[in-house]
Amino acid sequence: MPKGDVLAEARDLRRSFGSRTVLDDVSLTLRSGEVTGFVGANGAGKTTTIRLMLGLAHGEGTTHFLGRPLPAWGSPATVVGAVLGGIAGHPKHRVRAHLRMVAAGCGASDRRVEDMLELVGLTQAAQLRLSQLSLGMAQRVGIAQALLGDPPVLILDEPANGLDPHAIRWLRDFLREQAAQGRAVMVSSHLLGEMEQLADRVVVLSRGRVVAASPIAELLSRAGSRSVVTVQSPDLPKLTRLVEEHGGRLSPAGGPSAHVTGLDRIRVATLAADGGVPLHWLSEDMPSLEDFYLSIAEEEFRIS
Amino acid sequence: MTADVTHTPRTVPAGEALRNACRYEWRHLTALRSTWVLLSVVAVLSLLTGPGMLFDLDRDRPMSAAAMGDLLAWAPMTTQVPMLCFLVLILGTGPVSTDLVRGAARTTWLAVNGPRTAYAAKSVVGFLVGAGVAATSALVGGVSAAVVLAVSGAPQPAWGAVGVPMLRFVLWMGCWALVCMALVALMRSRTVPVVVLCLWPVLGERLAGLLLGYVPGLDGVGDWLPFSVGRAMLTDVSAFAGDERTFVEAMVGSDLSTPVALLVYLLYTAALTAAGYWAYVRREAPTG
Repeated sequence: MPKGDVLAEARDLRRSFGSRTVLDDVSLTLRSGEVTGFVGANGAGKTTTIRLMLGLAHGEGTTHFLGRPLPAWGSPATVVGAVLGGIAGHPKHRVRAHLRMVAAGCGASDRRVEDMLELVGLTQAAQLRLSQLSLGMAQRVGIAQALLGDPPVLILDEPANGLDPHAIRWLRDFLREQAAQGRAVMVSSHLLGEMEQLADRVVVLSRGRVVAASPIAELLSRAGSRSVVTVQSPDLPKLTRLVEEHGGRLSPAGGPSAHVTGLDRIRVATLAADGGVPLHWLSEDMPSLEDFYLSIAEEEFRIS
Repeated sequence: MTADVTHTPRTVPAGEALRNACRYEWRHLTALRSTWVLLSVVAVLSLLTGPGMLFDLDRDRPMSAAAMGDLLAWAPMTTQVPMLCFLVLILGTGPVSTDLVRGAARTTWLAVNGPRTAYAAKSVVGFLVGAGVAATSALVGGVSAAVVLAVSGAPQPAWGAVGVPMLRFVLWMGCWALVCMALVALMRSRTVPVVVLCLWPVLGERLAGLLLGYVPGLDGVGDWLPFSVGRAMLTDVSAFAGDERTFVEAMVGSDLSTPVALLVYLLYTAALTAAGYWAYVRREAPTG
């Protein structure tokens, strides 16, 4: 399956409780070989979107996996692997027995169970009961379970929750590897910063609506356009006039210091040089993706 | 970055999906230690059917096939108590409550082909395991009884005629598993159905039948309540001799003939299973 092929496509997902709409026409696509970050604040509707996509909750809209609704395949686990907050099973079941049960359900072999346990590094813990698993171990078992059917699509809901930095790094490398093998990977998170190192594309959800969806590089570039240039000059009034004439905005920051937005530092430096305004300090701060996401969310909040 | 793993999945036919789902449910049951503990209890106590007969054994007259069938189906120490525990707690309420109460539905529905297939598989496995355990228990109890009769020098009953009441018993136990499952799906609770299922046959239905008898025009409705029907299905009153019949009639508490009772009980089971299926399928997978 070539990289970039659409493997999953959700269209116009919508869910309401009475008059309150919690999800409003959410659409997204997952492509082969890509990690899609699905980002939003807690309560933005990420989990609801995923549950609707997987048919675990009722709502409007359609989701097709490789061009067909999930039930049409007859074996969901061979189409999409989902990790939804650790592991859901009988607490008295042992890890190996639980995975063998799931393998039987999706027509996978017991050999595949052993392979997946080894892949996530839990062979030694296979005799533990599900109730004995730590959060990190439960996430790994969840990943092993998701891969049992060898699905082309992987969906993980907040997989980094409760993981230590070492485990987060393992997870990041693991998911990049899965995408490199051609799977479409979707990872939800309320931390956009996590996506800078993981995702190829990002879909930002705010209050149940998609407010941004683009390649991560484009999002970073847009975030860059919101950079803040800090200047120090003995002639701020003249610099203010020059900046405003060229579409920027200068805000005094005390003494000879000021912040310029809407123009990058090269443009500010050129304007100052051409206008004969001396500059004693010039620096530019790029907002993190996190700050950018927060600003988008705040804008959306104001609009609504 | 190269694409070297993903492939278009195979479409799994409905029959194969159901078979896989049945294997899922079977493994769910066999992976629980409580299943094996209660099955062992059923096996051990079934063996006690024979020794239990020694208390009122008539060494001169052969036991009638109907009485032997009744003994195997109703011996409370050896069959009913452990069997009902097994069916209610493990087989009947476990698979559905694990999904809806413990929150494992998302695992089940994504492993097998959604809630419809899942419930169908639970019903198939529940019925077959319930019936299988009942058949084994009856067989073990029968062998135990035959050995005790032989050792004590008492005549053997007409074993060939015991088969039909045993078949009804096996069918009853299979249906009982379906009824348990349906109630859990309808109530989305494990405790309440267990309490209801334990108390209703013993107390609730007898009281309900009694009270309904006082309502003008409803006299006789008690005969048609589910467990009155079940008892009438299990015990063919007409097969008992005159002196035993009065006592058996009182124990059964229904005037329905065995074939009619069998049909009505199957209809009850079908109706409850359909309602349970509807309730299970329309629920969302619990979060958390």
